[in-house]
Amino acid sequence: MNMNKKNNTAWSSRSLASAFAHKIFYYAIRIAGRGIAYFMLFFVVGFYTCIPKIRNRSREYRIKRFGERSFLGELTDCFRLQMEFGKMLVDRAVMGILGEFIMSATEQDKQTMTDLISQGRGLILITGHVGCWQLGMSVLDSLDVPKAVVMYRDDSDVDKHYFEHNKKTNELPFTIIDPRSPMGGTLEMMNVLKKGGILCMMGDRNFGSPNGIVDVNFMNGNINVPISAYKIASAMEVPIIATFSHRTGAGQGQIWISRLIDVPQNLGRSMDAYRPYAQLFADGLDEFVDAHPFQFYNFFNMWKNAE
Amino acid sequence: MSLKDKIKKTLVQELDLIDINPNEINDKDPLFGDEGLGLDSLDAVEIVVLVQKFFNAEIKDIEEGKIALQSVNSLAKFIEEKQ
Repeated sequence: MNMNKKNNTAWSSRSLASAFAHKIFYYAIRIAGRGIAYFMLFFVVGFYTCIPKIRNRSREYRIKRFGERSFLGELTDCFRLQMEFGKMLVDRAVMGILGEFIMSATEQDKQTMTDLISQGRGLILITGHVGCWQLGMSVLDSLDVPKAVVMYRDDSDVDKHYFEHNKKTNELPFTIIDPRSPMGGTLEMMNVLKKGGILCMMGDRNFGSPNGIVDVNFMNGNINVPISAYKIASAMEVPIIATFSHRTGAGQGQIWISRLIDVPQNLGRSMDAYRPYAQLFADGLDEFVDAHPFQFYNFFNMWKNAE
Repeated sequence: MSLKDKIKKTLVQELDLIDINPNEINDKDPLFGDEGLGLDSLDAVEIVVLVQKFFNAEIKDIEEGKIALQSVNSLAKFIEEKQ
């Protein structure tokens, strides 16, 4: 997780569209709301779906999830996948511009989070690039503890996060920790947990370092996932919950707890010691993909480097 | 045993640095990166915990950590100041 090294990931957080194209969507949302943005999205996604290079980005996932399909089937799957992703981006922008998004959770899941937080040891939420993960933290607003998100942004990324739309306030709903900062941001992460806070991390992608990753089974293949969450949890005796959120409709989503991951204390430096806990996360991700196949947004071949 | 020697021994033992002899660690060697001990950011988590556990010194934030976690020298200085 040494972020001082050059990022050599197979993926990028950079948007396909230009900054100007994003602004058109933002203006449309300001003037006419979510509906017009969804309508425009239909044509944008249709355009991108016609480009083989773009389709290829999700090809490995689609083959693993849906099997070999006819050309028309492939186009349909790709369109639906990208449309869901686009709607999530629109919802994110609407949340930032108009403040409209409803994220729900079951009472049982809310209680589980509250109980874990009340232990005062801090809590790590580990999630993946699925559903409406970028809006998932909004369900935690009612919890009065420090919150931080480990977030990597490509330097040339032009798409705005929902909290970046409102320039009038400097108050962010959570602290953002850049994994490229000195020592991978681990000290900031520990600081949040020491205060009994919530740390949200992504469990399905590494940020380019060959260190700090293990291979786990996911969708009948191996992928590399980071172990930083499990290592911090082990060193600090912090509980982890694997959570995933999915869009349930226009401007609506639900976050759910997939599983509680209890990492034993003092597992040490061996990467292998953390594999079983990373596998638990991957199992949760597998279940999510099974239930919501078009809300999986890792648009690169995750299996390429681990097999 | 001097504080620096104790730090070296603790690092080697607690981080399972099996190929490293504590006596061979230079006080000025960087703890992180390809030179020196070659530790990475995940090891920083363990160092922060063990500094508190064995030396009763808390690294509270990134600014303190950046200064303290440069070398055995800087770590010893930090611990002395906190004790």
